[in-house]
Amino acid sequence: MECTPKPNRTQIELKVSEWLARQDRGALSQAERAELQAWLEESAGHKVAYIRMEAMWGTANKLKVLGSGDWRESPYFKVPGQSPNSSDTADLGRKGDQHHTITASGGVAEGRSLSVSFHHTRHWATAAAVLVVVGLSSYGVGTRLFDSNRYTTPVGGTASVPMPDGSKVTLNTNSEIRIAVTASERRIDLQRGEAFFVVAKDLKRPFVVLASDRRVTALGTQFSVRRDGGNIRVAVTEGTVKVENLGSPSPDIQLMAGSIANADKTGVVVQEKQIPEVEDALSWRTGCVVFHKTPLADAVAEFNRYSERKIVIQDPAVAAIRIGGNFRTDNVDAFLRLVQATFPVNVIRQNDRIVLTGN
Amino acid sequence: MDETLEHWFLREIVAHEAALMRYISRAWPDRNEAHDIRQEIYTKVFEAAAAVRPTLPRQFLFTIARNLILDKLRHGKIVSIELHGDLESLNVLIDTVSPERMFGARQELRRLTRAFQLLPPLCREIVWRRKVEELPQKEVASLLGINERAVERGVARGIRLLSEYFYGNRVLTESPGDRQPIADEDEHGMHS
Repeated sequence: MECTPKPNRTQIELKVSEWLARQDRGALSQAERAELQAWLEESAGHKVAYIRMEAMWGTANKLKVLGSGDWRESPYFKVPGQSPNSSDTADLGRKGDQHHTITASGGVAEGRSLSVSFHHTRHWATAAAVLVVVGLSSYGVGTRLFDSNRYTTPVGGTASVPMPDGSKVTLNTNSEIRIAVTASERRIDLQRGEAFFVVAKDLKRPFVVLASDRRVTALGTQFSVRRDGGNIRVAVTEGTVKVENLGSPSPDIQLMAGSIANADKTGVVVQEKQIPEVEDALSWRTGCVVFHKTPLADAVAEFNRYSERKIVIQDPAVAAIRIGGNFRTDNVDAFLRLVQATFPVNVIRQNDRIVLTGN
Repeated sequence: MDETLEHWFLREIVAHEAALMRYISRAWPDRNEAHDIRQEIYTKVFEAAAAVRPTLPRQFLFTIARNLILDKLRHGKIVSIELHGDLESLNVLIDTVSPERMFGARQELRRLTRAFQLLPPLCREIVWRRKVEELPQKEVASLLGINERAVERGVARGIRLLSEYFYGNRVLTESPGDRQPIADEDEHGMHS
């Protein structure tokens, strides 16, 4: 009793995991079965480790809900105003919807939790700093392994969608994507709204975002794509992405970190900015919008993305006022109070909208 | 006998692992040894239950845990402040956790997906292909362009890491920085 032998827990668990992985490959031969049996009989320590880890591998079957099943039961989508613990009680009903609607989020706490999850995905992507934009000859060739998966957020909601390759998509308000991962590519169709991507490095599979008639290709990088009908905006915070026009034969555009590209049917305008400015454009990830000398009309349009109750400006002079500052997207009132206090603007609250006029 | 010892052990003992790990980490000063102690406790419980199955498994588990830890503390030179001054609060902790609470379906799924998310990228993809897409190891290998042996090793590693993250609830109770030692341990394990 003076000195118990060092427990060889690590070795036991290693051995157990090897046996389980072997069984996972295919049925054991008679000799193998006998060998495993003998090893298990050697000690209760072997047995308990086996029982525990075998059950784990069985439980892992439930991961299937991530691929095909019911995302409402996924931990990634939280209900606003509820702590992670209390979200146990979140609505599990409404089975049978064809797609995954993500419950709105937006409180301060939610913003923080999103940025935390970013923080820890970032180092996967940073570790994979080398960026190669591959030719698209192999585009669309591979067999499809994942069913097209659709994810949406309501107005005012955001959501984080992990992908099986380790990449992560963050959806902004009122957005819709379809994810398709095949052996030869990882493809996101942006139907509407905005999404930010942290792309895990995978030289064999380009990461492609389709938005309207633009194709944005990246490997190991961080960028966002926003779609407003046929208008596309691409913002790159790390690495390089390539933007192609699928609608007409025009040269591809390479965007470096710090670039924001605005594209419509007629062409593309690229602005080279400092990284912090690009990050401002992506501040929705933490529930904020940032304005610098922004016309009030644009600022209001930005807020309107996050709320069903739209703000309407009825006075061109008011629309032209330029404002700056950092606002929470879920706190329109604070924004309006500031505007009202600082400028000659009246705020008229009606049932379904808010009207701004000069005074 | 209406139930095998194995099933009983899972349902009545392993179900408490998260609580057990919290208990151990409070009472035992060296965090790195927590899983070793857990393994010792399981072994003792299993041996005892093979002879006579305890009627109050949860109390039995924590009694074994406490005695084993006390024994180790007495024979070592380490004094754990928490255990020294605060045995009663550890008793309270035991009573607040039931298997039902630990393994509620939704709770279980949350812990499973978090554990899955923490896997290293290749390992995670292998687990995904096997468990979500239900592809055999052979197909996973050709799909990922790696040999079958590497897939099998990935599965083994996935099982070890998932067990650690899932049962121990490590994900929920510790900061991200604590994750590294597991990967290190795992790498050593691969070479030994």
